[in-house]
Amino acid sequence: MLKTAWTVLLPNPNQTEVVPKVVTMAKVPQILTHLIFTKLVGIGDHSDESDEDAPLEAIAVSKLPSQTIELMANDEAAMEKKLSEIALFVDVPGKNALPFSESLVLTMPLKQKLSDKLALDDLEREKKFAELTTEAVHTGLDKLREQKIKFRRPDDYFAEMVKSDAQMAKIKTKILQQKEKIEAAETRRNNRDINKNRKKVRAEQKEREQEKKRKAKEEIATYSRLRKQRLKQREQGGAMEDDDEEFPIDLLDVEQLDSENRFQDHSDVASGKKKAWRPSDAPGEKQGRESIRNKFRTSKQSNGQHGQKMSRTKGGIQKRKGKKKRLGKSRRVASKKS
Amino acid sequence: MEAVARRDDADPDNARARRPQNKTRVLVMSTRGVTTRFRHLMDDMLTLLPHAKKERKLDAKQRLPLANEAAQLRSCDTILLFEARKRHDLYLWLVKSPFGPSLNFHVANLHTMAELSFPGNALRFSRSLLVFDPAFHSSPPLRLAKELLTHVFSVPASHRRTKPFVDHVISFTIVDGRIWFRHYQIVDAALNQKAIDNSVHSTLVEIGPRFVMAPIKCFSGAFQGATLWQNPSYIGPNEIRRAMRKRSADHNLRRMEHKDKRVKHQRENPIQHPDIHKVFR
Repeated sequence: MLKTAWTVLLPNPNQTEVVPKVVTMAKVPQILTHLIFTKLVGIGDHSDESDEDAPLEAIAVSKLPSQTIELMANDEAAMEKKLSEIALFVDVPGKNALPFSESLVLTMPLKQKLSDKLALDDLEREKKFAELTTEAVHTGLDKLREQKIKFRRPDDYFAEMVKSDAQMAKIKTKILQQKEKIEAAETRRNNRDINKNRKKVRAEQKEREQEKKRKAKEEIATYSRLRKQRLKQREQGGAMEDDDEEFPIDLLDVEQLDSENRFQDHSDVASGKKKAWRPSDAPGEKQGRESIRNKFRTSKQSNGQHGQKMSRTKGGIQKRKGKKKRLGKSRRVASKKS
Repeated sequence: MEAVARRDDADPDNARARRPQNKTRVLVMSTRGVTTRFRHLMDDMLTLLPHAKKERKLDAKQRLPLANEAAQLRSCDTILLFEARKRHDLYLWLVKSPFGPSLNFHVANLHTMAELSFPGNALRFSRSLLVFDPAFHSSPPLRLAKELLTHVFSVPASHRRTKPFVDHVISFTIVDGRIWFRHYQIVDAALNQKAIDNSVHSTLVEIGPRFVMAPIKCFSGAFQGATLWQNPSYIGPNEIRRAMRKRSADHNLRRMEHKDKRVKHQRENPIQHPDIHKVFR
């Protein structure tokens, strides 16, 4: 501290005129907010106690009012002179600056000063820096291209790099590890969500299956009703028409069970009470038919869907108008699936 | 390998005239007490600058001007000196030897190139673009700082170790009164030189190192001389540490005060126990 005081108080040989650096109390209002408190040698006690508690101006006023206050050094003329002495990259009188091709110095395309808050906001700050630098780089490379200076390294040019291959490998592993970590966390989070909603999901699934079951049973019930009617008609001596054409083809959906065969009543089959119904159980056999009918009669559903009556028209279900030739099974299946 | 552009041919008036060249040589030194981190930063500087020479540690804290002698011996005109204090704080001197001005900075937020978070890489001793904040023109000390930084970091094209390619960029930005140093690799999107007409596809990847310089003072001589400028908003790390300790001391003081108050209060207002209190005594 003392050393600084002495150097500043001496007249600077480089300066054209001697500017006194000692300022009296009268000039206190003109002084900027930051002051350095200086004690002259030999006067007062050089206590090492810190003065941070009270503002420095207050100390200056209270403790030693007769002392002088020193301004922060700011010798602009001297600095300019020094700059002109050493300058290589700036224009000075008598010497031209080195051209861009030598210096590669660029300026950022920035209109105002960057906010001080950026100092604390890491992400924003780095983004801003990268952005500004990229723009400047673009202008710089364009300039080089204008001057026909080749700057791009050929792809087969192998030379020593700033970082060794080993280090680059380490960096790569680190990046991969970070990626894996993130992915693992993601899957863990997903699994957690699934586990949380498991009950819900299962309940929904069950509902859907039961819905399907019910529908299928409905359709089978109608199917069996229709069969009963047809049989009745036949017994009554109805014309032996091509039954298949009357048969409402859309009910054939029932035969197409799920791949999981969910339609079946597993409990009955498991206990051995009932035989598992297979499509191969040809509906041609009477016994087969009866077993089907029995099975459909004993519906597990409480809402007796099988008691539903089909609406009948006079004389049974009418023949379909516009008789069309019935297609083979494979084509029927194909058309249904489409 | 692509040929270097011929500078003589570029000057149409006088083909034989030698263009002014940058013949700066930088001496990179440190004082005693540099730790691993600071030493790595020094090594990073040497890796990036082909015109830099390493010198032995300066054993005299008080006698920094001795560095000028080393610079003279090694025929360097610029000195980059890393001064370590208390093994925690790093100060950087940018000095023009032997007469030139010197600038003093405090280095903080240091991340060296060896850290694995910087994925970029560049050709060693290739030339780098230097990008400065326009705020460097706003005041004489900053103009001086810009000039000195250019002297140090601008790779001279005529140096024998320099590779003529440009594949990295160093940026100096001013935020909160400090200079932020960043070093990036320039990555081209297109692979074919001829296909590149637009440089809008260049991206930057950080190579490192990364640090922040807070300017402290400017001296007229090399490590000595009159103080030409002093940063009014600079607060040294010692002051900051002291202020922090004071704050924690204040907490303790407050607690002591509370304790005293409580004892006094208890003495003045003794608890009036009811008679039943005596039963279990």
